[in-house]
Amino acid sequence: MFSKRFCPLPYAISFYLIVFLGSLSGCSEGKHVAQLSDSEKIEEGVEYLRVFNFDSAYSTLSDVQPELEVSDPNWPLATYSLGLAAWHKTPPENESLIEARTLLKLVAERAHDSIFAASALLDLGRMAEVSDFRGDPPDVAKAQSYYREVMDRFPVTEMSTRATLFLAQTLAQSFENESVREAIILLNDEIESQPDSKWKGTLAQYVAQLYAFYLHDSRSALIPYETAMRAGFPRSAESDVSLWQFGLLAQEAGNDLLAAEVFNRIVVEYPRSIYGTVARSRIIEISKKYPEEGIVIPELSTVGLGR
Amino acid sequence: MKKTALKFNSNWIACGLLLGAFVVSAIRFWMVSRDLGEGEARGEIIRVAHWQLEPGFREALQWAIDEYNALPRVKAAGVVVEQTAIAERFYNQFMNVHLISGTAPDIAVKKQSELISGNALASFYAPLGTYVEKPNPYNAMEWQIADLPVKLAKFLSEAPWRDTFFDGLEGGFEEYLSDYYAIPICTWGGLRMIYNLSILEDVKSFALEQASLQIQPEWLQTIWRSESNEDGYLPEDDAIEWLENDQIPQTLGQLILYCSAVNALAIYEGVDYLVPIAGSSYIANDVIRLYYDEFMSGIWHELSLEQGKKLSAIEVLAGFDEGVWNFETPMVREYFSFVSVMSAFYPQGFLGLDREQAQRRFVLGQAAILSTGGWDATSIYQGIQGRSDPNNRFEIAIAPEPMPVEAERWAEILTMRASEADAKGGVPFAINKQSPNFDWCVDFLMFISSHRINEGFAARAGWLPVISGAQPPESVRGFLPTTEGLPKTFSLNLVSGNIPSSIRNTWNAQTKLLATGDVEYEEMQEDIVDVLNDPRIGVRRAWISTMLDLQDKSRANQRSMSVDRLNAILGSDEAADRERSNTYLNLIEDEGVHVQRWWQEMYPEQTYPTY
Repeated sequence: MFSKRFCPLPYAISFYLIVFLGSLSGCSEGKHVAQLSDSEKIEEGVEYLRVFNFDSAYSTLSDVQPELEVSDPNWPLATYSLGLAAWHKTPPENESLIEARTLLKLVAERAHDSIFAASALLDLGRMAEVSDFRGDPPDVAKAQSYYREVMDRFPVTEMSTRATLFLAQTLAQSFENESVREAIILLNDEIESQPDSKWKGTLAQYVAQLYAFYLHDSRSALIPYETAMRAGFPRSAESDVSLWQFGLLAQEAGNDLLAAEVFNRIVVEYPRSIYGTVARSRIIEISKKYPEEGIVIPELSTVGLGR
Repeated sequence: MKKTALKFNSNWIACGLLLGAFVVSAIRFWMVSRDLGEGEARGEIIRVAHWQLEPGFREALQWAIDEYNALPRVKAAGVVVEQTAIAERFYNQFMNVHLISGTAPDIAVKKQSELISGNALASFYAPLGTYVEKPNPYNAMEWQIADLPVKLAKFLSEAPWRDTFFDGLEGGFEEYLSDYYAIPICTWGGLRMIYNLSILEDVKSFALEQASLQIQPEWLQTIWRSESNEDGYLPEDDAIEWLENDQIPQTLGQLILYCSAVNALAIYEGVDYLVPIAGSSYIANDVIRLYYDEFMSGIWHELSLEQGKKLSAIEVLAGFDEGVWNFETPMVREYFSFVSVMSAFYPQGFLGLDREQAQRRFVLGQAAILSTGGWDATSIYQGIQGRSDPNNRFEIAIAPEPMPVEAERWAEILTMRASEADAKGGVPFAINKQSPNFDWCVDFLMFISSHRINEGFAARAGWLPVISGAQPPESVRGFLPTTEGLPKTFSLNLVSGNIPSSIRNTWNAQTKLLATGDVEYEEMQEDIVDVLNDPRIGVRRAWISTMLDLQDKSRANQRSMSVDRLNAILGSDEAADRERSNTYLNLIEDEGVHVQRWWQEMYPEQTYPTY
């Protein structure tokens, strides 16, 4: 079988070196994991999740979660976190998704009133709705049933707001006018039911988007856009872009004075906006059109270096 | 059999090499571990990596480091900060390897690479969101420069660290992760044109002399814009008025006159080396590029498929398919005319020249103009001042690219410059998550980005500072970003990274060939149109690749939403804000839903293309 010149010794040495090195790193890891308590392991797993290290989170949490009783106060967090890690670990595979679904369903059923149960149902909805890998079939109806379950089991909470947004999204994505209108009704009901919610800006701006770009009704988009502006745009870092869009829609809908107010905000409140000059130009045009309004033209700021 | 085994076997060479490599690696690993691991754990060395090898930067950074190392608190802890400068060419490779192996420097300039991008960044660098909301202790009154204006002094001492940056720390913000991951220490500023004032004087007097001849030379006659010469660039009277003063070009017409005069003078005096513009393959040296967005912004409203949204690559390409623009569109045709005109002012074979060669040409007085950014300013000043013969030294002027005024060519297209209002902090330092000295790293970044130190750093480096109220050195004031102008998001941008490489590369290559005179406009147009119309590599494919790209982004966004929701449940208000931000993005762009909608509205009878 071997040639005459074959000598196994070099291969044996290499093999032992590899085993030796492997055992060194293995010892080090093993010692570290063994030293942690269950709570610490869960904490470490969650910490991995926080920095998007899903593989390490999965590895750590799958070590501790099976050891916990359902009655353990740490069980919902550990099981939910392990479900998230299984969902997002790489590469996305059917087995991982099955495991994630199983864990999230467990949380939804066993930790029935926990906030983690609501969150798990939302995740189950997203998993049903979205293809996580090629060949993963989306099931929008199933996703919708999960979102409705959250709305039923956790009404008038931040979780029901999230579920309403996701449910409205599934309706709007059909691009059918009737479904888009149904989505808008859902979102408006949610705004009314929780008028002080921190999600108000998100809900309102999405309604505005649906009117403006799905139904091509810029006039109807103005009120929700204004609501979002007053409540605070969800993507605060891009508030100037949202204001620019709002101003354009206002002009398209023939409401020049509202447009001038919005453009004014860009110049005054967002001195570093690249839309400052074009917004100011439009204010000048509008002021010429409505001289009786006495529109004040704001000045552009300069870069805040030097003194 | 026994005899065979004892005989020399070439496999032993491999074994010996393997053993040798193992022993060397083991010793090296032990030494590095001792230095990086135990040493740093004891609080001895904090390494700071960057790739800024320009003159002045390292010296200025070393000054800031020395100031920090001399602090009694730092000395008492035995902490020493050191810098490691690595050439840009190898920087990504260096960081990728060391971040994975756990041996990366404690602090490093964050540079995007395939490995370290999107939310993968969070695996390697530490988020700083919780720190930037509190005031920077090194901005407290006792650390400040004496006699600062009261309002500024109060602001610096009380404002959150984030707000003390002139850009609100946008230069350190990661949109994907909705958190701050880096602390910039300077400002890039805008690209500017640098003029050799000695050449300016000679050339203007030469041009004035030529213009006063009874029969003007042909090169000058072609420049005057009149009813009989619509291809001219500026009216003669305006030009003469400018030639009589000592100003640098204030308008595009004057710039073209000036460059043409430099060429004419070079021929007249037989100085082949003198060129108007020190062009090279380095993009910052390309004056033509300075005008790209300005030329291409005229039809943003027609291209936009969703008013108010930043113009995307697919909207630009769909606009071609829909006939919104083509190569007969005035702004496109005129842009390429401009390319042909301006490239005649570059050195021959400029595409074979690099950044250093362009700089050297300018410093040696062989080019009238150099376009570049503030980061090259110190090199240029030092280069000029370092000329051995003082007579060869010259003054320079720095200015933004001039725009045409009424009655000049292209005045109707080039209405204003592109805005630089969104200029961000540069050289963003991030903290390695694996650093055993995280708190000291944050402390050092607070120190270097404090008002006093940042101003001192900028003065020594000859770079623009990043902290509000910090004085920029006089030498680089000209690079300060200008807030007035068009949004770059209006541009029909076929050179951005979002355009499929097949189209972008063809556009770039053909533009260069036109610039070098190797193709005519019609030939160039034909080649680009062929690619745009090719179903395998053109616009149709762009629809497919755009969708795949958006689906990938949706996955990344979903991961962010999951993590932020978990953090929000666990009590983090910042995470709750991030979750709302990412959820909104998901609502409007999930799985490329907006692009699917655009497709459906444009081609209602056709299903979305797939591979």
